[in-house]
Amino acid sequence: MDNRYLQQFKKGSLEMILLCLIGRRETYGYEIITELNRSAGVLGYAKEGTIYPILYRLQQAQLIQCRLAPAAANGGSKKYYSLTEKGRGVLEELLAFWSSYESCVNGFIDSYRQGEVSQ
Amino acid sequence: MREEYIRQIRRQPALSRKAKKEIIRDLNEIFDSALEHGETEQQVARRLGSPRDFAASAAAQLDPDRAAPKGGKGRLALLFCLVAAAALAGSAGMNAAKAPAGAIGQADAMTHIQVTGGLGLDLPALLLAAGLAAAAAALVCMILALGQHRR
Repeated sequence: MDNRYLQQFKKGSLEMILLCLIGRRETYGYEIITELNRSAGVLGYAKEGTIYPILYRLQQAQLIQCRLAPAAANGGSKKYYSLTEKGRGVLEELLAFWSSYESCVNGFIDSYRQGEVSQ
Repeated sequence: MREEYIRQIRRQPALSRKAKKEIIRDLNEIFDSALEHGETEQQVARRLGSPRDFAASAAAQLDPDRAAPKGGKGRLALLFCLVAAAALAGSAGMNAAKAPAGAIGQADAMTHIQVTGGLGLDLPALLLAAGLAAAAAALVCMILALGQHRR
């Protein structure tokens, strides 16, 4: 199958998934990548090169905010991300849309399956 | 590997100084976190993609104006330069073709000129003014384009 179709699906949902991850609790870059690779294998391998530009976009849109905290383990610092009020509102809207979108798409899939069976 | 990656990010023209500072901080965190979890710098660099691609994706979010296709103001400056050159050349050409005031022998036969109206416009002078205005606009665009590049 042409990989572009799958890429389109993933692209559209990744921002919402990131908002969900960040909305659950304050988190940082490496934790986000690890979590995505552990529980969202279907999305493919999450890479910093893909995730960080999206984080920048969400930050620019003021949907997420960040704070720097010292990283005890390596002597550097970690950027912790959390949702802003605006981000929480947008996420709720996206989730509501996703539900109706899902049932709409499922309706088409069901009708296709039924047509396939009756043929 | 980390130093080389960061060095190349520093050299990317698509990023402003402020964006570079933020990205380099993030890159240091990315490398530190990965090393802390037993990964190598090569693995991290592979996941980041090329410095150029990473800088371009980050710039599209952090510096959208700067990351937009280059040459907006530069192209405008070039257009103004062309307009200025055409107008000035036109003005100079018309002035060269014009007979000096009081010249004798410009007509082979008697001429009868009847002035029926006119706006009193001096075309060479208008072209000269347009050329100078376009040259000034080109200069402003060039200065703005240079300022954007240095930011």
